[in-house]
Amino acid sequence: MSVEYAQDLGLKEELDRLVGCPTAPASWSAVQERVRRKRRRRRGAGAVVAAAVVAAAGYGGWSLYSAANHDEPLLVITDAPPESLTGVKAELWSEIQRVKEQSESGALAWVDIERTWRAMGSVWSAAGYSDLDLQSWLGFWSFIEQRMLSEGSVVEMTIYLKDDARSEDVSALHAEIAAMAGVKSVVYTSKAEALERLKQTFRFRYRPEIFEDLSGNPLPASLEIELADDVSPAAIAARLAGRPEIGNISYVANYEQLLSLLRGLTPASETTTTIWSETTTTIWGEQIDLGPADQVRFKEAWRQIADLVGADVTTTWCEDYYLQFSPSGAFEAMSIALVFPGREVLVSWDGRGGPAAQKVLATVETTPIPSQDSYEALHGLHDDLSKIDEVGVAKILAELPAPGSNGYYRVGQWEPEDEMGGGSNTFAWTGAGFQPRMPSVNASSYSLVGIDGRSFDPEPSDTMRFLFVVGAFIALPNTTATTEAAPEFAPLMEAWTSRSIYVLGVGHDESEPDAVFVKISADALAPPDGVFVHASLVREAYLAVQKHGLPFDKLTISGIDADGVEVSQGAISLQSGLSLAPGRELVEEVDWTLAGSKVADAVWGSYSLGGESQFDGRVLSARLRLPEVDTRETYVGYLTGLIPALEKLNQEGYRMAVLQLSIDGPYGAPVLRDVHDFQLGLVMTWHDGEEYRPPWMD
Amino acid sequence: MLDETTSPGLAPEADWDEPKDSQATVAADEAACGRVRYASPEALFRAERDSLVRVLTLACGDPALAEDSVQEAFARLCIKWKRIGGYDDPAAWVRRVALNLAQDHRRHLARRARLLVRLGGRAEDGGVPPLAVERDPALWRALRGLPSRQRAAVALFYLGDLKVAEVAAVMKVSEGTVKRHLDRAREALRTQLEASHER
Repeated sequence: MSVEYAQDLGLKEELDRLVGCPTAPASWSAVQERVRRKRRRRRGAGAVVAAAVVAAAGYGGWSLYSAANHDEPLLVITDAPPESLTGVKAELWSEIQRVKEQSESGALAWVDIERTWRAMGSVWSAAGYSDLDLQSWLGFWSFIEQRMLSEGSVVEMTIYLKDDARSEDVSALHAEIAAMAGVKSVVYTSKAEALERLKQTFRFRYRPEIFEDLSGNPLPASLEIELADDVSPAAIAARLAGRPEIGNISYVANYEQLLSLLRGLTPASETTTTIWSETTTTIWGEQIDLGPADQVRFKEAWRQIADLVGADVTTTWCEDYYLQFSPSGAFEAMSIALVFPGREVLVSWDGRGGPAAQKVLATVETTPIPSQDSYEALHGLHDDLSKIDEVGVAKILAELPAPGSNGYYRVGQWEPEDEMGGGSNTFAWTGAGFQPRMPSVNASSYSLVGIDGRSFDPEPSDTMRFLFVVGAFIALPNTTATTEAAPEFAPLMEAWTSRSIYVLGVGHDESEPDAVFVKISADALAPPDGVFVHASLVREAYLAVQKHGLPFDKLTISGIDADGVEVSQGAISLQSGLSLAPGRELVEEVDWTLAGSKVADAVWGSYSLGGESQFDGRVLSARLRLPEVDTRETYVGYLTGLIPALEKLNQEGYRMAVLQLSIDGPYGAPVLRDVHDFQLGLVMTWHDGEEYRPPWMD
Repeated sequence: MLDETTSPGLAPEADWDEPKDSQATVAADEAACGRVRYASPEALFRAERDSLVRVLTLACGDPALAEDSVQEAFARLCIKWKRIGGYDDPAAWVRRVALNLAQDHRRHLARRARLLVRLGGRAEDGGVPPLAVERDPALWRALRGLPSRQRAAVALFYLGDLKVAEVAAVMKVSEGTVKRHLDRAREALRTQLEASHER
């Protein structure tokens, strides 16, 4: 019996006496009789299962045969340009094939791809892509391919007309465009037709009621133009520029521009990983109707991905959460198993459809959180994520090539997206870090952080699904990270070094281009002195960013502990949050070590200088975790020690105006939140269950 | 606790599959790892059965159901002994299976009772240990008033003499959760017993 409960022997004695001994004697023969009955039943069931397997194999074979003789493939993708493409489109098609091939093989360096991607700018975003990763990169080119392959009703350009354009001018423009070489058709769409089209779009998918109160028609009339393959929309637009009746000209893809960009994208000496070639091959699998042999290869590729993420059909958590078994999927699997005896077969992978599906390699089903409070919910989430971590991330990291000098990988993402009770700002993410500088790092930490940067506790009533994403999106070598090779960080490093702050790494990635990610030893951030190291780290970053005009808005700090585990220490705005106005500036001459010791004498817990939402040097946040359930007296004890200590510090020139005190119970549940404003003499206390809104949030 | 003997009633042909490392299981290494290894499911049965019946009696409130669940769990153990026998702690497996069986059955009974009531019938009471009710009706009522998971934690911890970590393994929750269940259960028991004494 564990020490902490051993003292309650009275209850044990009471229970012993209450229940007494079993009335029936132990009967091993009864157990044996049950065993015999079970074995008899099992033999009968085995015969039934065998018959079902035979039937399933037959059905599966028939399914494969049907697939092989399918008359109408959903989509055919070939590597040779269709004969219908001519001119710039044919050239672009050829270039796309080259770029896709070299991207998949790793022959193209990421830095060149990134440069090209940035140069494409609006074209890229117009196609619905916001992030750069290999998958999106290849997906974009497939999107362009499909546009080029599409025939007939594709509108290449749209010319939006001004409301005050006269009808005779529009007619003349219509005729002029129609007469241009390479223009296949011009269709006029009136304002009323445009509005009706929009209403039809909204009728089923969005909110048709938004049109009820609409006064007037805000949509412009337009001319929709279809061009021949060898005609540049940019050239047409240039010819029409400046016409008074034209409001705006829009075209989705400027093929000439794309062709020009791609021609400049040639393999560099540095090569990137080839691990993604398998992955990306499978990405397109969903869009292609393959023959049986290719279907089997497709399944095999998925199986390899499953191996990468640690998914295994024999793994319990995998069965529980990852695989969707359906009758047809099971039959299909059996058939494939017959074709490849002894091979592992992944039955079905639920990609959930939509763009996200293309990124999802493993899906945990939407699951009510089986818990009684937020602590347990969070604990459960971490359990699940830890399983993924333990089984999957290690394998992934083992497969990855060396990330290069000072580079690092971010592996793993969890993006429930609006599954946490709705709202646009409630998705959470988690990530796993890998520090190549520290070979001992093999663990990963997960943090639950809302999009607004605050920590996040799911409620028991929440349901969510986990998307564990493995792909180039995460395993993007951060070639711009750290030190000498990245001049944009040099001022930061210099500023920190001048304050004797030595970070383990600094960099940024595509997830937040405006953010600086800095990693520092957790020991350096440990209270009490670490509070002030943290403050100096932020302050120097702010000053360096302002002084040198660095393009960073945010500083994200991670602590690396002795075991290499990375723990988020929060993110701070470098633009709007830090205030150095007169009367608010941090006092540089104070003895930070002494100050930290004084606070540490007064209170136990962790501290951070700066506040919980935006950084303010006047705000000290103290977070306490109480060791016992009954905590009111303990809390008062902390407070009575802490407040005089802070008042004394203020007298010495620290100018701390606000204390935010957070008290959590032994299991992490919030108990009290106190806010003490020393300047205003204000004390706000928030108890669990009440709305908490400290004044600096307004 | 170690039982290397063969029961007089044991059939010459064992009714279970021998684990791959059966030789190793014969050797007791209790001192080495603090866990008992058993040569056969029968040895495990004789060592753990009484304790487990008591635990389930408290957890599910029905001695007959407890006995039945324990028997069923050991029957399943026999069939899977080749695999389970190689576990570090096969007793934990049996406890978890027996507890699940008992709780599943209780849920089934509850569903049936609701259906009977809905159809105009009268819900049957589950089996109740008469001695327990006679010995301390207030404590019995208080225990029955606990949530099932808290009651299971109390039963495993106090009657099963398991450590917190072992209780957590059986219930498939964290140790912290077990401690919380125990805390809350003790608090609830104290509150209810004090209230009943005042009455």
